[in-house]
Amino acid sequence: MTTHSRREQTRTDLRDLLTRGEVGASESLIQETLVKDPFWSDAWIELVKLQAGTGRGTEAMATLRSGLRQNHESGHLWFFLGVLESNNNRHADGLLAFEKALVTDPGSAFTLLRLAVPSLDVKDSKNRENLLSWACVVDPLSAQVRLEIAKCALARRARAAAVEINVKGALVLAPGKAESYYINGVFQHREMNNLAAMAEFKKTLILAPNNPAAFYQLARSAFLTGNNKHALPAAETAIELGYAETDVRFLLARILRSSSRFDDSRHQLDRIEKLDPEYAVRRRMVEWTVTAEDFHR
Amino acid sequence: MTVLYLLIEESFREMTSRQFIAADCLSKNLQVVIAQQWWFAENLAELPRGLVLFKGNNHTQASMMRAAKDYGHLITSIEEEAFGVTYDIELATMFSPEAMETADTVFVQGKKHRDFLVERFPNVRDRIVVTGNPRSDVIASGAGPDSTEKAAKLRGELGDFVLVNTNCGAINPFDIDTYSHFSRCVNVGVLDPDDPNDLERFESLLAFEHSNLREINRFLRGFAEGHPDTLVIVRPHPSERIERWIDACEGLVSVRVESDKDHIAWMLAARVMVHTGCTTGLEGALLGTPVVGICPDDHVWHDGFISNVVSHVFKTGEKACRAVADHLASDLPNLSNLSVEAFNRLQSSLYVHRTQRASWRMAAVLEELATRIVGSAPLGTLSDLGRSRGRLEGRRHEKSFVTIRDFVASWESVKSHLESPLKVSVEELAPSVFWMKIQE
Repeated sequence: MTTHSRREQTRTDLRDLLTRGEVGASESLIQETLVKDPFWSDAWIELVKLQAGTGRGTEAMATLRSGLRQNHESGHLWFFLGVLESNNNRHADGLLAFEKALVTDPGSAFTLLRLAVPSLDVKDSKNRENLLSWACVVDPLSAQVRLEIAKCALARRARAAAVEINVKGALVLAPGKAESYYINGVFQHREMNNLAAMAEFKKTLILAPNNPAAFYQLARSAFLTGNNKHALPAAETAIELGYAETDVRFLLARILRSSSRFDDSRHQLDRIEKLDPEYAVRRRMVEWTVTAEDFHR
Repeated sequence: MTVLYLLIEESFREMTSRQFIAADCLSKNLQVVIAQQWWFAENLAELPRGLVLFKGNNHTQASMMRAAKDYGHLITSIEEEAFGVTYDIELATMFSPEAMETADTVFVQGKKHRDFLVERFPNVRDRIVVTGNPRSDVIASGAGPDSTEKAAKLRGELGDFVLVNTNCGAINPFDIDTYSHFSRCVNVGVLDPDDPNDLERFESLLAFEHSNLREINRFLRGFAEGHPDTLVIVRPHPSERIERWIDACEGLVSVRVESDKDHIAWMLAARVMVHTGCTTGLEGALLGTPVVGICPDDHVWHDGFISNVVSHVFKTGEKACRAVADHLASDLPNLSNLSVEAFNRLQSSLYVHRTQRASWRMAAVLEELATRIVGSAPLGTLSDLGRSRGRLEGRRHEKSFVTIRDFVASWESVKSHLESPLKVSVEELAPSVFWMKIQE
């Protein structure tokens, strides 16, 4: 039996055992396989996944490191190490592991994406965009990559076309992805198309009904189109769901003031200023706005 | 043949004046594209190299200039936001250092603007040319798509009326509150929220607008009460939230709120015009309409608006009300049109030559600059650009969209005024992007 056919048989046997829920037997099979075939990195990964999936994180990490000692050039194993380190909030170690994965397997879009995702604290935005562009070439059908590129473009205030093409790509590739509509909404707001932005945030909320950021954004876009009927409940929901308190209460204050609820607005503004005295300037800007009374002085 | 890109942000303000420049440049063998500025920015990498006239010099314009220059275009600019302004502190927000460093030529409308720039940016001295502003050419011609005809029609329909142009875009902005306006100013780089001097300037403008609003309302109520048989048309600035004015004027039977963007026709039609430091006060005076300016309280801003140089100025709405009423009632109007003295006072702020157009003077400079562009791509490539880039939506559509039909009608009107023999075809490359080609 060749190595290839032996491995295929093991895959089949493992699948059957896992389908029957026989975790112990699955683990024994893999461990026996690794004694005979220690250079099979996929087997190491399956064992790591089993151990991590049954709450044995420390054991999974030890297994992974053993696998890497045997298979130092396996991009796949380095990638998994990066994932485990990141999941355990050891982001610097995760980053190193992903970089190693990229050196050994430059065609891995997953690695590129994980390296570029902001949560890994890749501060160099140009480097991040390069990685994302590379990921897009490697995996042009990844909606997540497109969204990350769009987010980078928005963050650096790129031209509309640079954002739009990637947002639209994500929407086509993954029409059920809430984040695609959210980012499109943010983009439309930036372009001052607040009616279109509202529509996108509403779609986001259909897919992610308890997303506080989407409620906040919906409230803001509705407010800027003079639609307080939608803005007010959306802002209040964002508060209930725990969105950034000063931001959403400030928006609420603006909505209330423009609805002529001046006392309620002042109450919100007083509250925000206590939390963050730097809001004093913003408060003044809101309070300079004309009221109906100003037209009758 | 070198192409000249004339960029537009606000079509009601800039389109016709660009057609004047186009007429003078086409006759000098330049090809012309009049374009909404976002199309230009989106398609920059594919456009044939040429000359570009930017409509402003702020931070956002400067970024576009820089990008265009990197692609080999020659950069010129004129400051449309400063058309009615000579106040140094306000001018400082309009001219960014990067724009001054990048522009190959800076067109300015008068000596005051030139002196301001030379003092602030000594290195730009040799690149400044005083030409006036072609918007005054437009006004002098009474031209617009059909402004003169429309004005006659308005007079026929409405009879004598008083036009009140408001200018409260900071305290009554279209996007609801002053914080929105403040945020926009920060985003385009005309206001640094961490600079106490900038904040002080900004808030002094807000106080100025509140004073103006108070007196304009006193004028409206006083006039409506005292002269209920005379129609008053209130035309809020396009950057304002018109609903507030509609609500405010609801009980005033003789007052009507109007949003028509063709402000020239309305100014031509009015018996007298009232404003509070609005640029339209300057335009109205140049059109020959008697203009009343209200300058309440002691604000430094009053002296910085050119319109107050050419208006009959009063400190309160009540006094303005009496002056307007006397003017309308008298056989000999008390408020004269633009006098010789006022015209002469105007020159240092806005150079207006009685016989030579600003657009012609600009065209002469642009013709010389064109000789420095060598080896640009053939203009045929312009037609290859997809219409999908440079789509206009939302606010951009409101500000700059013009149909090809309206563009051509306006162009015919300009040609007729100039008695131009040019045969020009117009191709619409994208929304509000028009390629003007001399027909062989």
